[in-house]
Amino acid sequence: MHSSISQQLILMQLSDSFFPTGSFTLSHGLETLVQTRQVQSVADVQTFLQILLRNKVGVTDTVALIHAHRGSQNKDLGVIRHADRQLFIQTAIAKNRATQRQSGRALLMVAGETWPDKRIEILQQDAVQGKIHALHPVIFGAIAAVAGLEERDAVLGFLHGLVTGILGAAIRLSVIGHRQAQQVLRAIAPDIEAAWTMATTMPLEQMWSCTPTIDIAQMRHAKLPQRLFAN
Amino acid sequence: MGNKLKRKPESNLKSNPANNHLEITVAGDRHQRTIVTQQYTAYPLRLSKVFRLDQGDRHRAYLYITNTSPGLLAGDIVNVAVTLDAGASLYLTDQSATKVHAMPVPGTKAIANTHLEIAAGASLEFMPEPVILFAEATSEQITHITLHSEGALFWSEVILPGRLARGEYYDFSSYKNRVEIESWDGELWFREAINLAGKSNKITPFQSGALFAEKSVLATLIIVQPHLDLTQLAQKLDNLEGANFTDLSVANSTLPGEKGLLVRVLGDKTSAVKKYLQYALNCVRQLGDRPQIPYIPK
Repeated sequence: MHSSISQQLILMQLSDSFFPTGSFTLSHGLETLVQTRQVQSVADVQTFLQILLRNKVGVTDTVALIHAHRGSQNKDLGVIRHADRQLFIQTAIAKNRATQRQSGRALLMVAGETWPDKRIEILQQDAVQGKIHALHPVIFGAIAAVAGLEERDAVLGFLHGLVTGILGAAIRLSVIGHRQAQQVLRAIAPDIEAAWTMATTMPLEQMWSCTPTIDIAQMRHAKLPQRLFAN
Repeated sequence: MGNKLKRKPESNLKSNPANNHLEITVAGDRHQRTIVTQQYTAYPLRLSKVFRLDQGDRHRAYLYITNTSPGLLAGDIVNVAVTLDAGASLYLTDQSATKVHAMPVPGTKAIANTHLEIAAGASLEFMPEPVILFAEATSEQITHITLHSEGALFWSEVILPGRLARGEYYDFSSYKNRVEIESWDGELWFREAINLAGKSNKITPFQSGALFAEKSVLATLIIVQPHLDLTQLAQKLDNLEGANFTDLSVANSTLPGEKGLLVRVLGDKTSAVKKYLQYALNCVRQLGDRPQIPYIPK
């Protein structure tokens, strides 16, 4: 049983960009939109995040994370594997599948050393044997449960890490400044909360996504002549 | 006959034939020409006779689905099941756009279920006319595709978020579309699910803003062609300048398992989007050494 202080510290550790999973190398299509001048302002960055949270990450990745967390908490690895499979078949963009796989495997490796646990060991073996794709949201959910985080904290930690990663990308792409990034982070708190509220009751089979412009930006990223980010 | 040519065992996802409004099976005859071997239609759907429009390929059948109702209305449930037996080759379309009419009574909606089954060596080109979402329309479309690893699919969908010419834009209630593809042995390997919100999202920057959809007309293509070079096809589909499609936003990605391509298309005009879909199908046909699409009379 973890104390509340211990839980808060784990939450901070898992959602900090200092935690080495490579997520900070991702822009989720923002780099394409900045280069094509479709994102030029602080308001644009905020809208990008809102659309991504409400119409993609909140209703796919977060749902898979929650199911993996529940599976891990109940020591039912079949649920984690199912969540991994469902998220994989519904991630239409190849680059997203590849980066989620890389980040998920990196997370498994670090977590295996930080929170030694039989469940993580088995998931590592599954990943090596190709039984699971080890997509980042699924592994994050499973590990958050192993580390002792409650479901809601796991979701908020994941979404906070995603949003701060994108805001960091926006700063590096010179579309916003550090102080503006903090204002955006505060302003989209209701969207993060809405994403959690939506995802918590959704079955895996009901996941959906609807972000046409962002999809095209993510698909085109690999063809940019110059790239700072992996997606 | 090899195992791969046998009919697939009944899937528990397959629709109940008793509820179908259109159910057809096509197969190759002794001259390998695709013919309709089984057909059932009920109001409001009808099926055209088989047309042979390809001068260079008399094997492929061209069929039109016609709808004798004004479109989809509240409470409608329309079920379609199409089976392509081994080696069959079918271009399937409809005669006009599907109009999803206003459903002002809360909780009402129209549902369209489509089951497609494509056996080994069969090829389906599914090119329906656009779906037009009228003000206050609510619609759900579910497409389940069973595809043999040696079967070929070109599936398309065009969505108009209103009667754009009269300024109606995102005034519908909601549109949900789910496309699932399973292998011959029943393994689900791809799911595309979209929930397009209409008027409920107009107050947010979503639908009115370019960052949600930079152009009005939305289209998606799913292309699974087991013997084509996907990299080469992807390059052709990306060559918008060479093919004179500079007014469209288009991108593609490989599907899970590298089994095919998903293509997203955004355009301001329906005609330009439809022209691109024809271009994409011609790219597929060209790479497969098949004749270009003939004129499809409508």
